[in-house]
Amino acid sequence: MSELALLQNYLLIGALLFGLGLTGFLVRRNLIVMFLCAEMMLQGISVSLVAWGRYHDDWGGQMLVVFILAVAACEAGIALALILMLRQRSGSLDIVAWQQLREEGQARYVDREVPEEREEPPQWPRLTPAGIEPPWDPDEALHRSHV
Amino acid sequence: MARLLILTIFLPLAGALAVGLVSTWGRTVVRMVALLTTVLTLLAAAVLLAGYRGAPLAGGEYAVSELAWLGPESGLDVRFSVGLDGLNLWLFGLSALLLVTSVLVSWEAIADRPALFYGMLLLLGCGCLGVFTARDILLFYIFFEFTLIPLYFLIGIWGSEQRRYAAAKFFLFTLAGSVLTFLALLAIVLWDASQSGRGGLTFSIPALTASVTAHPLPRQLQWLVFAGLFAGFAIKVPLFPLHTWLPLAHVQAPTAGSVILAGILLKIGTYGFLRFSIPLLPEAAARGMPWLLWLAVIGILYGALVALAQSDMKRLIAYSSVSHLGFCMVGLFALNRLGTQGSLLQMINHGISTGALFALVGMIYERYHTREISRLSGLARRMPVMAFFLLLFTFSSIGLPGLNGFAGEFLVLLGMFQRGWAEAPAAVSGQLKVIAVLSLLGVVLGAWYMLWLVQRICFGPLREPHDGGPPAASPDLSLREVAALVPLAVFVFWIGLAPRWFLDPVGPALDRMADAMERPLRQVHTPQEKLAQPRIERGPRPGADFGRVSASSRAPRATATAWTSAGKGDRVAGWARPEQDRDDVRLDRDRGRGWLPRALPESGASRRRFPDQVRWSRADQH
Amino acid sequence: MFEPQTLLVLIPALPLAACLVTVVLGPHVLRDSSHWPTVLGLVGSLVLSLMLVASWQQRLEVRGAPAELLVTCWSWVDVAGAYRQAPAPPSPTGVAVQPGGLRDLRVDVVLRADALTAIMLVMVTFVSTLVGIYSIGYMRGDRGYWRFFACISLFVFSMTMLVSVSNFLLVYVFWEAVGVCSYLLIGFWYQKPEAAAAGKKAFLVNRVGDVGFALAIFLIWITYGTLNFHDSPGVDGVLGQARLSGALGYVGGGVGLAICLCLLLGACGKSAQFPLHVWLPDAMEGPTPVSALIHAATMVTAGVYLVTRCAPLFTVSPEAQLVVASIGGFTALLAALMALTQFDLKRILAYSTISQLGYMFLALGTGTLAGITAGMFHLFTHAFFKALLFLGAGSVMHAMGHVIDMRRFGGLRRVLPVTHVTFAVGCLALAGVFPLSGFWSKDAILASVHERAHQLDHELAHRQPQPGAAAGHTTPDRPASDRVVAGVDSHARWDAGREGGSGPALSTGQLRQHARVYRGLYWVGLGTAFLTAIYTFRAFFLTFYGRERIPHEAGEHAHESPRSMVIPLVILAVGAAVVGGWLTGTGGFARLLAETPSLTLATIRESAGAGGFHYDIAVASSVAALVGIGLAAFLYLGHDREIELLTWLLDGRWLKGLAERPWGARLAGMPLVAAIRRGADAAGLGSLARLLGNLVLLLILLLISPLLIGYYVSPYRLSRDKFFLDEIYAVLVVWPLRATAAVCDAADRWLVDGLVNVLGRIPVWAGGLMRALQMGLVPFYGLAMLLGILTLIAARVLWGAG
Repeated sequence: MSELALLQNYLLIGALLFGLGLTGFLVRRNLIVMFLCAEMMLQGISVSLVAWGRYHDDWGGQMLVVFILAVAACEAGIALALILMLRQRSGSLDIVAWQQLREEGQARYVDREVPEEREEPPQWPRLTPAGIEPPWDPDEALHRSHV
Repeated sequence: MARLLILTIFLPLAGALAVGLVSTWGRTVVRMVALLTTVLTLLAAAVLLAGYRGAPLAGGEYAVSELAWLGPESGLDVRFSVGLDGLNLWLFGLSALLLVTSVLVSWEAIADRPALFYGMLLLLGCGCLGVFTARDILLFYIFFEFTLIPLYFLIGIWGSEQRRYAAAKFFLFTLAGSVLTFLALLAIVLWDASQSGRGGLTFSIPALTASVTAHPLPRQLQWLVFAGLFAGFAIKVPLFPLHTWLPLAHVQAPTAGSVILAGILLKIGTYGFLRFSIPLLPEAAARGMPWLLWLAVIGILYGALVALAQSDMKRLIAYSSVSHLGFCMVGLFALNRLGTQGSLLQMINHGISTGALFALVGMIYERYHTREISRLSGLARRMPVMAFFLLLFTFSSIGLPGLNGFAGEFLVLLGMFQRGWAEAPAAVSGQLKVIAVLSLLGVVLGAWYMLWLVQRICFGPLREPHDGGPPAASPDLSLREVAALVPLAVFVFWIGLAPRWFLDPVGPALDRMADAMERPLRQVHTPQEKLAQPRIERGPRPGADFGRVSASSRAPRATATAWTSAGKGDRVAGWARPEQDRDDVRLDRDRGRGWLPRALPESGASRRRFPDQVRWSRADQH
Repeated sequence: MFEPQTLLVLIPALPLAACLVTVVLGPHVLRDSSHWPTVLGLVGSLVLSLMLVASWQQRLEVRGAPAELLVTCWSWVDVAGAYRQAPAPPSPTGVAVQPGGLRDLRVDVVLRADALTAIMLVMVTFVSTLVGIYSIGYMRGDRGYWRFFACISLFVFSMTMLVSVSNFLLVYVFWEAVGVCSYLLIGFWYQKPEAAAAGKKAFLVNRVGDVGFALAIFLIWITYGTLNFHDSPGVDGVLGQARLSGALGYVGGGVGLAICLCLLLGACGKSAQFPLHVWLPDAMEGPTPVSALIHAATMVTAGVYLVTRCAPLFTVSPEAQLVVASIGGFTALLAALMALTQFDLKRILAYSTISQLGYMFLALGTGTLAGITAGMFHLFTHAFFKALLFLGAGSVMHAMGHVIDMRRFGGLRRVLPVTHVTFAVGCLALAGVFPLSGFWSKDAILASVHERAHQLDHELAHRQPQPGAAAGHTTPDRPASDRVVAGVDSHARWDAGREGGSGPALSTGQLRQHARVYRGLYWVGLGTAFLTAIYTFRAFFLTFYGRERIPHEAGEHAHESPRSMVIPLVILAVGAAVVGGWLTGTGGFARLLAETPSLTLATIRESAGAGGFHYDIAVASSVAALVGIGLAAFLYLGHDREIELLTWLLDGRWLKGLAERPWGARLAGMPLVAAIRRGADAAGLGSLARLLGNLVLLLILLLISPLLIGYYVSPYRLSRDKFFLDEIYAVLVVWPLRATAAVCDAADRWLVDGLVNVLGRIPVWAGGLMRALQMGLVPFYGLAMLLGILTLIAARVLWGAG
C-alpha cells in the first residue's frame, strides 16, 4: 500500500475522530461525555500528527503525540477533579447547570419540559331514578318540532 | 556610577517588596521601612547629581549603562539603557525628593492597609525614576505605562468620595493617549531602520536622535508621528482641551498621590515633548510651533480663570498647575535656548511649589476634614507655621523674584519674547507677539487667584468648621510635617537665588538639541512653495518607506540638499539679513551654541556631532 | 575707614542680617525687645551710607575718577549664546546703535554706587531709622511685634538693594520684593478683612505695573542684547560709558517709545500714578509707621528713581517725556482734588503723597537736567515732611485710641503740643511756604517746567524765520523707526544745546504742541500748589483747632506720645524745615546729582538750562500757597457754618431744590392751560389736549435733567468718592474677569468634560450591542468557536489562496 494511501487513511481516521468528538462536544450536555469528546478530538489530532510524521518520516510528529498524551493525562486528572467538584456543587452533571457567566439581563436557559397531564375525577353519566314521570316542560313542548 | 543609577532606580522597588514582607508587623514598621527606602533613594540620587556636576560634561551624559536586553543579534536591539543628561538630571532629582515628601505627608493620613499603600507609592516612585532616565524607547514606554498602575490603585483605593470614577477616568484618559504615542515611537524606530544602514531595529533614543537628524522623516510622516506623540504627551501635560482628568484626579487622590501626580507625573508629558517630539521631529515641531503655543497660552489663561472660580482648594491648585504647565509648554515651543532652559527650570519649580501646596492642603484637610475655601478663615491665627509655609509656596508659585518660580517664568517669557520679536517667522510673527503678551498676562491672574486663596484661608477673622474640628492640642504643623516641607522650602530659595547652579548642567544637552533643530528652524522661515516643490517631487510617501530601504534612502538626502539650498535663499526672505550671517560666521565666538542657522550646516553639524557618533558606534557593537 | 566697596555691600547686608536675627530669635527669645536688631542694623546702615556719600564727595574731587563703583557679588544666571542679535540700523547721522552678534544672557548680582544711588541710600536709611525708632513706641505690645520689625528690616534690605543693583532684571527682582514687604505690612493686622483685601489689592495693582516693567525689560533685551546698566567685557551696558559717551546711540522711534512707556507703566504702578493709583489710599490700612516709611517716603519713590535712572532712554523720545509730564501733572491735580474732601487723616496724607509724586513725575517729564534735579530734590525733601506728617498722624492715632476720622476729634493742640508744632511744620513745608524745604523743591519743579515751555517756544521762534535750514533734520514726515540720538553727532549736539535736550529733532507742529502742553502743565502745577495748601491746612485745622473733641476710644489716657515717638518727630521737623534751604543754598545736591553717570549724557548735560532760582515763579507759588492757607483758615477755623456753605455750594443742594419743583403740577394748574383744556374739551379735543400737556411735561423734564444729574454728580461727591474710580475699575475689570471665570468654570465642567464623557460612553454603548451573545452556555461557546474557525478557513480559502 502506498505511502500516500496510508496517509490518507490515517488522516481519514483522524478527521473522523475529530469530527465525532466535535459533534459530541457540541450536542451532549453531560460533563463527562463532553470531556471524553474533547479527548477524542485530541486523539484525532494525534493520529493525524503520527500519520504526517510517518509520511515525512521524521519523529517530530510522534514526539509531539507523546507530549500530547502526557499533557492529556494530566489534563484528564484535573478535568475530572473539576467535574467532581461541579457535580458536588450543582448535584448534577448537566453543563447547563453552570451559566453564571452570562451577561446580566440575559434570560437563564431552561429546558423545555412536557407538561404532565392533570388527574381529573371520572365523569359518570347521571340517570333519572326509575319509576317516575320526568318533569314536563311546556315551552320545550312548544318548541318541539312538529313532524 | 552607572551601577549606582540602576540601583537608585530599583531601590524603591526593593523597598516595596520589603514593605510587603513586613506588612504584618504593624503600621509603624511599614512606615519606617518606606521612609528609609525613600531617604536612601534621595541620598543615592544626591550622590549621582553631585557626581554629574563634578564630571567633565563632554557629551553631557553621565552614568550611562547599556545592558543588552534583547541583543542586537535578535535583530531587535532593545537595551536596558539608562543614563543622566541635562534634560533629565533635575527631574530625576525632583522625583527622588518628592518621594520622601509624599511618604511623610501620608504618615498619619493613611490608616487602612498601609503596607499596600506604601508599596504602591514606592512602585510609583520606581516608575518615575525610570521613565526620566530611560535611554531606550521601549524601556521609556514600559516605565511610562508602569507609572499608571500604582497611581490607579492609589486613587481608587485611598481616594475620597468619587475615587472609582476619578481613577478610571485618569487611567483610561492617559492610556488612550499613550497607545498612540507607542505607535508613533514605533514608527520612528521603523523609519530609522529603513533609512540608516544598520541592520535590525534600534530603540536607543540617542542613536535615533542622531540618525533622524541625519535622515529626517518626510513632512507628512512627521506630521502623523508628531500627532501620535502629541496625543500621549499632551494628555499627560495636560494641554488645554485634554486637561479634564486632572482636577478630578487631584481632588480625589490622597495627598501623596496629588503630590506625586502634580510634582512628577505631569512632567513626563513635557519631558516627552522635550525628549522625543522636538529632537526627533524637528520640522513638525518647528511648523507646529504656533498651534502648540496657542494651546499652551490658552491653557495658561483658561487654567488661571477657572482656578479663579473654584471653591475647592485642591481643585484650585489643580487648575493652577494647568496654568503653570502652560508656561512650561510656552518655553519649550519657543524653540530657543532661553525658553527651553526656563521650561526645564519651570518644571522643577512647579514640582516643588505645587507639590508643597498640595501637601499643605492635605494637612489642612487632615485637621478640618474639608477642602471648601468658604468654610475656613483666619487660620493664620491658629496655625502660624502653616500660614508661613502656605504664603512662602504661594509666593514661589506666583513667581515672586528671589524665589524659584520667578527664574523659570522669567526665562520662559524672555525666550518667548525673543521668539516673538526677534526670531519670528515672517508668516506668524504677529501671532507670536500676541501669544507672548498673553502669556505675560497670565502672571497677573496667577497672582490674583493664589493671593485670593491665601487671603480667604489664612486672613480675616478666625472661622473653623465644626464637624471634626481641630484636635484638642494646638493644630499647628507637627515636626514631621515641617520636616516634609523644609527641604522643598530650601530648594525654593536655592533655585531662586542661584538658578545658574541649576541651569549650567543643562547646557550640553541643549547644544545637541540645537544641532537637531537648526535646519528645520531655518525651514520654517522659508516661504511655503519654495520648500514644497522639491518635497512633493522626491519626498518619499509616508508608510511606503518601511522596508524599501535602498529605494527610499536616497530620497531624503536629495531633499536635504534641496532644503539647504532653499534655506540659503530664505535667509534673505525670512528673518536674518545675509550680510549679518556672513559676519556671524566670522565674529561668532563659539559656533553652534545658538539656535540660529550656521553658514555651512552640513560641515558644522558633522563636526559637532562627531563625539556622539563615536559613542553610539561603540554602543552598537554589543 | 572702610573701603567704598565694603560700605556698599554692608549697607544692604546689615538690615538683612537684622531681619534674619529677628526671625530666628524674635518669637521666643527677644519677644518685646525684638526691635533691637532692626534698630541697630538701620542705624548702622545709615552711618555707612553717610560715610559712602562722604567718600563719594572725596572721589569727585579727583578729576577723571570713574563716577561709578561696581561690586560683583555672585552670578545669578548665565545662559551662553542665548540670542543672536541682528544689528540695529545705524542712526541717520552714522552713529552705530547696536552691533549684531551672539549675546549671552548673563546676569550678575552687581552692586553699583553712583551719586544717585548714594542720595537714595541716605534718604532711605535716614527715614527708615527714624521710623524704626518711632515704631518702638507705636507698636509696643502688639502680638506681631517681632514680625513687624522683621518685615521692616527686610523692606529696608530690598529697598537699598533696589537702588544699588546695576541690572534691569535685578531692579525688577527687588522692585517686587519691596512690593511683597508692602503686601505683608499692609496686611499686618490680617484679622481685619479690609487690611487683607488692601494688601492683595496693592500687590495686584503693582503686578499690573510690573507687567509693564517686565515688558520693558524684554524689549530692552531684544533691542540692546543685554540687561546690565554697566559695561562688562564684550558687552556694552544699557547705561554704560560707551553709550553715555555717545560712542553708541540709543534706539529711538517706535521701539524707544514703547520701552519708555512700558517703564512708565511700571513706575506708575509703584509710585501710584494716575491709572494705577488706586492701591495707595487703601494701603493706609497698614500700621502708620509703615505708611510713613513705605507708602510715603521710600517705596513709592522707586518709580521716580527708575525714571531718573533711565533718563537716557527717555531722551530719545520726547513723546514719552511728554507723557510722563502729563501723567504727573494730571495725577497731581486729581489726587489734590480727591484729598480736599476726605475725613480720614491718613487718607488725606495718602492722596497728598500721590499728588506730590505727580509733581516729581511732572519734573522728570521735562527731561532737562534742571527738571530731573528738581524731581529728585522734591523726592528728597518730600521724604522728610511727608514722613513727618504721617508720623504726626500716627501719634494722633496713638493718642486717640486708633481713631482716625477727623470728624470725631478736634482741637487737640493742647493735648498733643509737640505733635501739634511738628505737624504744623510739616504742613507748612508741604504747602510750600517760604523758607521751609517744600517751598524750594516745589519752586524748582515749577521753574523747570516753565523753562521747558520757554525753551520750546524759543526753539519755535528760532525756527520760524529759516524753515529751510531747519528742514534738514526737522522734517515732520521722517519715519519714526530710524530716529536715533547720538551724542557725538554735531548736529544732534547743536540741536540738543539749542532746544534743551529734547533729543531728536521735532517737527514744528510737534514743537508747538509740546510747548502748549508744558505751558498748561505749569499752570496745573501752580493750581495744585493752591489745592495742596487748602487740603493740608484743612486737615491741620480740623485736627488741632476748633472745639476740643476726644473720642471715647481714647478713654482717659489721651496724652502726648512716648519719647521714642516724639524724638523722631522733632528730628524730622528740623529736617523738613532746613534741608531744602540748606541744600539749595549750598547747591550741593545738584552738584552731587549731576555727577550721576546716566545724567552725563550729552543731551541731558547740555540741557542744563538756567536752573537756579526764579523770583516770579517763587512769588506766584507762594501767593498760591498763602491764599490756599487763608481759604482753609476761613472755612475751617471757627464755626462749621463755612463748611456748611462749602458743601452746600459744591454739593448742589440748590440744584436739588430746583430739580424737585413740581413743574408739571404747577404748569397744569396755570389758568391759561386750564382754559385751553376746557376749550379743548368743549371742542371734543380733550385727548389731543392731554397729549399736548404730556408732551410739554416731557419737554420740561428733559430741560431740568441736567440739574438732576448735576445734583447726583456734584463736584463735592466726585471728590469725596474719588471720582468713582474704584467703582469704574470694578465694573470694567474685576466683574468682567469674575464673570469670565465663572463662565469658563461652567464650560469646563459641562462642555469640555461633558464631551470627554460622551466619548467615553461610546464603547459602553457599542459593547451593549453584543450582550445578547453572552448567554453563558458552554455548548454555545463551543459552537461559536467552531463557526469562527470555519469562517477563518473559508476566508483563507477564498481570498488568501489567490
